[in-house]
Amino acid sequence: MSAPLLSVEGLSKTYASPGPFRPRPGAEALDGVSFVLAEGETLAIAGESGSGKTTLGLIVARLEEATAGAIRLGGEDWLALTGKALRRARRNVQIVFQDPATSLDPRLPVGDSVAEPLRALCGLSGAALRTRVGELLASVGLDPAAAGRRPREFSGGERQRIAIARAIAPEPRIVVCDEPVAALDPSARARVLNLLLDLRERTGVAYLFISHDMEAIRIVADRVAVLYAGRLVEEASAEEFFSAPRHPYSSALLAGRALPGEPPDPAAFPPGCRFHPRCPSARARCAVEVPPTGEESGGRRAACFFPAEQAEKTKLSGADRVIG
Amino acid sequence: MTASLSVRDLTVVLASAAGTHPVLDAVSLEVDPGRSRALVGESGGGKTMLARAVMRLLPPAAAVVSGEVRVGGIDLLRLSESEMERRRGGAVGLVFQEPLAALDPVRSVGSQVAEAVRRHAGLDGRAARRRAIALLEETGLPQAARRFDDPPHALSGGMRQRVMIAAALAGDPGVLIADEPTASLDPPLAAQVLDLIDRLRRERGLALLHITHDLRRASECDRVSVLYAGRIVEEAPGKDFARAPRHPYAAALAASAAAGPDRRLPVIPGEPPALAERSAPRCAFAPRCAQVIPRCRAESPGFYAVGTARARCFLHAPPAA
Repeated sequence: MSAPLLSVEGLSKTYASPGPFRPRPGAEALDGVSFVLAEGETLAIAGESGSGKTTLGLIVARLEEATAGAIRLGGEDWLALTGKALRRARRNVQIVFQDPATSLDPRLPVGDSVAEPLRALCGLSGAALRTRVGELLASVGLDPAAAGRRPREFSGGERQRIAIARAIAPEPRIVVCDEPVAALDPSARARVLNLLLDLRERTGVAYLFISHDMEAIRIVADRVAVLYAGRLVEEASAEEFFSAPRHPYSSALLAGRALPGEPPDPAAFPPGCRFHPRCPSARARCAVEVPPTGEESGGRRAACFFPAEQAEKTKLSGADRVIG
Repeated sequence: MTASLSVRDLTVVLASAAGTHPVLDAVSLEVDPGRSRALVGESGGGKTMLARAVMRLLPPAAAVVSGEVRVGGIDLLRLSESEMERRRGGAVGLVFQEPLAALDPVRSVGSQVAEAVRRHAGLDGRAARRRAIALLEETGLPQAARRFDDPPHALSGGMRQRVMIAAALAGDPGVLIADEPTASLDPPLAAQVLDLIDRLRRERGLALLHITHDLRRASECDRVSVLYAGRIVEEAPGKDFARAPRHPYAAALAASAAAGPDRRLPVIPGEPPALAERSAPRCAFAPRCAQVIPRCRAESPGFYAVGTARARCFLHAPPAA
């Protein structure tokens, strides 16, 4: 078996610096997260707001430093790269954020924003650069002639497609998509999801698709990993996950059901299984021991001593409904 | 205080480099005490502008041209600015999508609720603090008295949303407008916040206007209004809307949530019309509509009854005699 495109091992992140826009001192965002991503595959990272999903994406994109753990990209030690070597390798991993304003400068014509990584990471210039920018805008369904317009002249969905054009410009092998459709209305969301599927078909790019939109995950993902309180609690193929989730938190995610209690405080996680105070099937053991995320078969695993055998019905509504 | 919300023929214009054009065009909707209405539609359709018009918090470039916004029978648009300032929180409470953006990051969450209590309920000092804690408890914030002095970033997203709801309730409003209150929350947290809003609606008899682009959530409301390019194009009971959206735009929105066999989602072609093109005498959705007929491009449709719904669409016009 050849090495996976991306392999993440024992990734941990603790925020030590206090400040008004940071989690509290000592807040733990990730604890020993491991997974692999194959060439051309889409792995969804699902989980609660504040479960560490965004931190994970930022670390994979090398926009945030890990506290511990390793990431190998195409067999190379990705976290060890610095300076020139890192800059050269950056074209392999790009990121799309929830808010396209994060990657599009409001003062720049959108064509310049798309051109920037081509110039900086691929050394393109002049006519070749202009041609490539036009092709990229066309590939996300926009008129190449729109390159001269500013972000505010586009709708939210169009801006997100421009941010995607910028991300795929250097022909990355991985695009981290951090809640790419959370801010979009249904028709703009549909277009962005279709676009991500089309681009993958065309270019063979792999996605780390971070989202709390379970329907979007159902549409784009090959595999699903679930984070809860900084730990990976379940991983399965999309088919297995949606038909029979094993972890009780996954079941709640899929059912869209309110959970008792509060999400745990990242500065003081409960002992044992971090989900046990809110878990409907918790027993004494769960409050003491950390359930291992041992592999069962075919990459399927669940960090639970009492994994749900029964698939949760995720359809909430009757068969005669057009919606839901 | 219970009160109904009644918006009648509300027209709001927006001035831009391209001229002055309506963003809301003769919009009408009603919400009775203890009832809920969803307002759905694409971004840019005017949903948030309607909320701001009701609160009289329009951006400087926007202005109400005609219509009324009655809360408990009083037309808010006819109040003087000082009367409105006194009534704003007492008449209508507003909950936004992003509590972190609405809350001051360097002040404690409790003091921000207490300030709303001082402003809208006229209480001071210890009484305001007590009232703020009671409101935080009502929204289910655990250990409200202890959390009072925490800054917003020390709270989880769901807890912050509850703080904002507590502040919105400070003036004991009859009407609550929730503008995409759960868009940034994961499903279990979203369910928790919506359960809370629903409980408050029942217990306080609030008239709830829920602005959302989640059609499933929308159809759980008593009634649904669909806004397209500044106009209401469909109005229906939530249950019936879930089964059969009647306007082609509403039907296309509903369809765009379910993937076909190739995993692709149906999309609505094109974009909503620019402000300057909206006043043309035609159906504003005609250029994007799969069921368009010549009449749609020649005149603007009125409302036609279809089942329990009303839709602004010629497809539902009675056959000509």
